[in-house]
Amino acid sequence: MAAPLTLVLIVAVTIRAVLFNSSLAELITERVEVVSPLNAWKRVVEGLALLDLGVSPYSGDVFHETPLIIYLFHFVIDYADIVFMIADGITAVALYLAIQDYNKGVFRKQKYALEADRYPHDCLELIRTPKEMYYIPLKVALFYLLNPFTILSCVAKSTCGLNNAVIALFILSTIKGSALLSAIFLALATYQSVYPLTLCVPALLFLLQRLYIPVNVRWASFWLFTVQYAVMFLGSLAVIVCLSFFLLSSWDFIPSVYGFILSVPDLTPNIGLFWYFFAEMFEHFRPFFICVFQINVFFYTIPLSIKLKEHPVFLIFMQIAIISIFKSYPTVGDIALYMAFLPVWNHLYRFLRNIFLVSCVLLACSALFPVLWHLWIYAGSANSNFYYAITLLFNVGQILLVSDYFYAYLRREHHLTHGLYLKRKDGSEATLVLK
Amino acid sequence: MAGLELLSDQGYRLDGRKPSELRKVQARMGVFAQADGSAYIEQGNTKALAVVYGPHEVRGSRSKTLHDRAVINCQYSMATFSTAERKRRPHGDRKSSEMSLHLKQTFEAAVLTQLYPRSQIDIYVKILQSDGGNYSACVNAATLAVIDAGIPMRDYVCACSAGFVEDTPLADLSHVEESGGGTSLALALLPRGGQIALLQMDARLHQDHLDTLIEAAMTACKGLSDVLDSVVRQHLQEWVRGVTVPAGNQEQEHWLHLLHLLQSWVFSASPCISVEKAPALHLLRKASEMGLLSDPNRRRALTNLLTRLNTPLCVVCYLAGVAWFMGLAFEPFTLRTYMSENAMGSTMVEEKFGSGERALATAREFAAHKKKAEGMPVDWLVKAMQSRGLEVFTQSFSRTLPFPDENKERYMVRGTNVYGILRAPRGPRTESLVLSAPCSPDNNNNQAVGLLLGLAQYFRGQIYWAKDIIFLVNEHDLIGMQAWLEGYHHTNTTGMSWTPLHGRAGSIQAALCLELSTDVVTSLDLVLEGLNGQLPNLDLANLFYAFCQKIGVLCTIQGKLQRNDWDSSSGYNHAVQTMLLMVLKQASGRPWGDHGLFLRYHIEAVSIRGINSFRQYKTDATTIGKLLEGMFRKLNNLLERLHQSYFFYLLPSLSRFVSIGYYMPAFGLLTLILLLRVSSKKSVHALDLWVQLGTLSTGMEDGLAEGEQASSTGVLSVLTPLVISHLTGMALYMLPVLSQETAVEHFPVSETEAVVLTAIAIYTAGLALPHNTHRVLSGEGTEQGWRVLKLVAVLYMAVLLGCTALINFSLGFILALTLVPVAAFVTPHVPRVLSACVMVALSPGFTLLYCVFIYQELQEAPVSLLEGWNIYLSVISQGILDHSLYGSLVYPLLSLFVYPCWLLLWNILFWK
Repeated sequence: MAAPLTLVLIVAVTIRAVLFNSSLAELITERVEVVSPLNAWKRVVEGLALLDLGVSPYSGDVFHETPLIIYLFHFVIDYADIVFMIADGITAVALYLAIQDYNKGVFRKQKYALEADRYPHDCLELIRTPKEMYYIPLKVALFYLLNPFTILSCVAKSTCGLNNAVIALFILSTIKGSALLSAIFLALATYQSVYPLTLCVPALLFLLQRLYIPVNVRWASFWLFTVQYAVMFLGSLAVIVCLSFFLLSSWDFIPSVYGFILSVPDLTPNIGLFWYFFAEMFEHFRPFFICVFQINVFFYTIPLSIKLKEHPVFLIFMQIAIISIFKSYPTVGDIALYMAFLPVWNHLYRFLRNIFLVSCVLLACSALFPVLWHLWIYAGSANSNFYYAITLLFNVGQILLVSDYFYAYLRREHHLTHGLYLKRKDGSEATLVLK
Repeated sequence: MAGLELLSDQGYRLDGRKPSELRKVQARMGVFAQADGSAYIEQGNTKALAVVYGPHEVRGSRSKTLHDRAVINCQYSMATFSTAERKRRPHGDRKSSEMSLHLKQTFEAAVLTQLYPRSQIDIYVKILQSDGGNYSACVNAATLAVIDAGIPMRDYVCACSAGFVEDTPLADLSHVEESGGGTSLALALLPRGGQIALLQMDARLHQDHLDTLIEAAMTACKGLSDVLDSVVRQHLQEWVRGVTVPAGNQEQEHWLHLLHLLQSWVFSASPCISVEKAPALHLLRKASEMGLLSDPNRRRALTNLLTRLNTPLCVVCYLAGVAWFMGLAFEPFTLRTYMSENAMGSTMVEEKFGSGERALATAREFAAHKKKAEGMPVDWLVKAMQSRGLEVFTQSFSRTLPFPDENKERYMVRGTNVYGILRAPRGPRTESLVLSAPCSPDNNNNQAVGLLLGLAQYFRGQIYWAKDIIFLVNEHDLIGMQAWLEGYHHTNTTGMSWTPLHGRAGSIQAALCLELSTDVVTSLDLVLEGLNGQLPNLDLANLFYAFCQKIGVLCTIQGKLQRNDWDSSSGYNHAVQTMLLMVLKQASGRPWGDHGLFLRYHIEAVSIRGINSFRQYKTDATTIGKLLEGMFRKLNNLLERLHQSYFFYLLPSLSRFVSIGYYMPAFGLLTLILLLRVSSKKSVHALDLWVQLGTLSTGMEDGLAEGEQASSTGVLSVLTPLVISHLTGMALYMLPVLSQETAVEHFPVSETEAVVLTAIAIYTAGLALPHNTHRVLSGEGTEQGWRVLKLVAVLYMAVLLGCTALINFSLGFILALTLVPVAAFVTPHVPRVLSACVMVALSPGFTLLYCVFIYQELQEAPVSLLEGWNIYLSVISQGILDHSLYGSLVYPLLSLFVYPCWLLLWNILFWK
């Protein structure tokens, strides 16, 4: 299996290298879909220049990346292309290993359930076979590396690629069961962009499940482990933040990075939902709606964790998807990360209802983004409403996609306990309704 | 025979049968819903129940798996209450396991196990009541159950027992006869070929009698096979009658086909279920279980409706789209133009320009100097402008065309632009307006330059200018304009070399380009169509129209006068012609006047062209000057960029317009066809997967393996045509210009001809090149393969046309008109030759040819075929030139996207 993975890596690196050297790279770097004010490479370069001049990179409203990133590129600025390619490679390999491990676990669990005869008789066709699971990790790597969104993001040198790598490493260490590494990477991811904070719940659930500790507030071991994990997470977060402080010897970065993420002052159009809404809104409603919008991102954690507490990896997928849809400065690179997980849920295909429609919508929107941008900005014949309409449609498409997968997952679980061919009480065919 | 006489003297047996007579046989199939197949049989008083599961993956230890065929697992058991005295051990005794083994052997001989490698078929049989002939009842029941499960067999397996009493063979022994102590024999037969699947005998028998006995058993088996056959037919007839065929033509077709297969078998005399029919049966059974046929879901109802009415809906949509489009020119359906911009609407200006005659004198002077200089009289112009009080600057430029332009006879272009800036006496000088006139090589446009200089002198004397006014005389029309605009905005998009501009005014708000190609001007024509089909804000056209009305100048659009008789057919025709001309010009994507290049920089601009075609009228230079003065004074009042009015419109006449909201439905109706086809494709697609599921049924876990299968074959069969079509497109885009030198060396043609002919050659070669390339990778093209490809192609086309129509409605609409029908009808099953002709006739290249002829027809300058062909060739070369000179996108769009998309459809037609 290493050979195909290597091949995919080589193909991916070749494509990126070719694009880096083509004239397209400059065009891609400017696309608002690919870079946000938060992760634009142009701004990183600007911040570096300020740093070299001995000015705080956070003075002014140009640079909003974290101090660690700027110090990383302080040393490797000449090899930035390679860094971003390596980041993509790390993400893909980490996801590959993580999913391989996860699938092994799933298969083992299924085997136990089968041996204990826990599945209803007619559900045998829902059972997953090693044959169809064999290529899933490779497909995940393939989906991530060759996804046009990832490629665009990498060629634009959007720092989103680095965030994805950190999150992928977090997933890998979680699935491998290393609580410490998991907490450290989660802290890093949180440090980078705040939102991955919500991933601590699924990580905790997964680690608990792995240690056979029931999620029960009356169990001392549950509390013990939770506190342990929280301490590790907060400790490493504190270390990282303090490190940043000592690097720049000022707290400037806190308002400039986290304040920027949370209060959304930059309303450059992007593929998210914030810019248009806040551009149109009266100023005095702004704080209220900022709160509403930001709480919206975090809020889904609670119901989803309750519903999916037995399935933490699916929960991770859902969380990443929700973050990338509702975050304040989303780019296509964020979308690429959760899309890489879609092959893992291959077996839900039969339960998906709108997948065809949704994929058509997403495809059409991706094509329409540049067209409407052209009409708005260059031709001047359309206006921001056109572009926002497409943004909205794109996000609705994504939400439908995610909820479709959610429904399909729940439905499969339901069938695994209640049998595939459901009958009503009177014996007629029953259909499941999502309520 | 002790005590009991098994055969009476009259030759009757204990239960009154003749020696060769069978007991009464009754059977039912499909008695259980959960199992894959089940059957119940009564032979006399022996009652047996058989249940079949599978084929499914091998359970338990994997070592049992056979790699070339299925494992058959049989379990025989007797109910505890099956015999006269209650049995202690219902299964697990020696007799039962022996019987299981026998059953297994029998069915391994009969079932086509090689169709299901690495899988397992479970057959469970239970004797509910035992009255002799247990084995045969079991085999018969199991046969029916296996058929019910849709597992293909070589033939029915019929089993019967036979005994031998007093030299007479007895068929189908009952319990009493069996236990009477005589010889008994059990035989399982595949009746069609007369092969024996199992033969078992319990007691001793003289060899001479064996043949008779076997003969008797075989006859009995054949009798039984008739009975079983009729049972199966009966069952299927009932079932077939019960099936409600789902609505929707595509789906219906499939179901009807399957049903027909079944019926042809059920109602025919063909003796046995054959291999190809078994899967159909299996499929139908599965489908009815899954509720695929009777699902009351609304969603499905909608899909059904869409699939059933698909073709009529498509036709209706197409006709409605075309009718809607033609209706746009009908005056009551259009809106009257009105001025939206307040700054230009309500203010009054008085035109005072009166020095038309002097302008004409200047024009003559200019002409003389032009002749002397054999080109742009730069020095004279600079002096003339300076003397009129302008800041004067020049810009020289040079450009080598990729290949010679035969229409305008230029290859290496070198020229100079001269422009003068009138600084605004009032206002901050951050905005400016442009008036330009071209300096053309022949005698045209001299008057325009004269008028421009006249206006400059007059404007200089006025104090109300709030915006700088730039007077530009550009050489080599569009190339010069391109150089000047690039210089002004510090961009270089096309690789032209020019000297930088030394003087600039503010950002340009609007531009008017004046062209007076004749000395006698009868009317003024407004040209709107710019690069890539971009149009200026409608307010600019409104402004022009308003002033023409005010001053009383004859104004036209597309060279057509306004008419008031919209209710007569000729009036309507006139409007349609005007609108079609606009659509064709816009679709061409080329700048139809010098103004066309301004639009790219977000500057609203129009060309005003003096024409001489309405003899009875005459417009003098003073009037034109007044018109321009008025327009400039209004534009001078602008407070912000022109944005109030429409950017997307069509004009059937100058006073009427069709806005985007009115014309988009026409296009929408056409693309709706594609979406309809997609929706039908989708359901058929889904159904296809079902069919595939049945035909392959390699013992897989349905849903899962299905998806994988589909995706792997789908991707392979789609990817290669996709890549090859696009490579052909790339070749069409790159090669003509690159290979012109080689072509000129080897063929007796000029460079321009070489480019055009290479393009046509590649276009034609593309038709022959990419057929069935998918076969190299994925082997035989499947039915499903082309469906996936078509799905992709149709979606691709929908997105492509949608994007095109947003940027350039006319181009999108014209492409949709010809491509959509192709996309809708093409399948590999339509008559090849005819459809290939139709497809070629509707291909993008031919669309262009039709456009050329229609354009000539509308211009009222019809051409012969040969002339038309020559124009067609020059249009292609112009398209390529426009792309490299000005960055027009039509040629790359056609060659890189539309043509490959059409090639995909072409691929489908020749799918094998």
